[in-house]
Amino acid sequence: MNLWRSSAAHAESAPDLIHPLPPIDLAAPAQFETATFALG
Amino acid sequence: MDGVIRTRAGYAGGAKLNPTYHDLGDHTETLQVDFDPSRISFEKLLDLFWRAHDPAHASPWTQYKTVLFVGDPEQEQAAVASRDRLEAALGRPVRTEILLLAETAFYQAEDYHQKYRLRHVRVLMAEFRAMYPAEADFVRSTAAARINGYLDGQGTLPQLERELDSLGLSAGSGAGLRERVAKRDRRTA
Repeated sequence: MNLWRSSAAHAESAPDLIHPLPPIDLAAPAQFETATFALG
Repeated sequence: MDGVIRTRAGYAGGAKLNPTYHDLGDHTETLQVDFDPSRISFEKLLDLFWRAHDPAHASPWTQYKTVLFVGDPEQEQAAVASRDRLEAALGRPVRTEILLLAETAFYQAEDYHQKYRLRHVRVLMAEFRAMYPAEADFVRSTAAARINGYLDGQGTLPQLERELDSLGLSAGSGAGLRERVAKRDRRTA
């Protein structure tokens, strides 16, 4: 299993770490909308 | 919550430039959510927002106001319509404000306010620190947002079980989180 980071950006910031990134983060869609709330 | 990609705590609604927690000026504590509209609609988020606070109550403190910030005319239209429906159903005025976010700015809060629940579970944080040595990457993590939500009492055990393998946790930490959510579900059943 390849434990090296698959994201170039992350590999750049910490090339010596071998923890895999969460699959849900790697699959995050590029298209999204934003909502902003203040709940008191 | 399905469809939520990222969350961040921050400050908005005021005119003060670069507010901080200890120098907030006229801003209000705010939560920003990035979501996938193909999986959760803005209207569904509005429903959750209205249910998460008492809309008939207005805080006397600007820091703790309840505000629905809208980012564009579509959001504004949906927000006003949902506010009007709620007002009609309640039979009394809704005091939650609707403000255009474009007229102010969202300032991300200090790191120690981000993923607040998760930050206080040392074993989980150790794993996230290994995954994301850079703080900004940790704050942007969908997995961190979702786990923080479960730790805050959101979500259900079946929901967690469906996505646990995608959250990047070790088997031990995953089992610990699962047990925590299962215990909470049993308490509230």
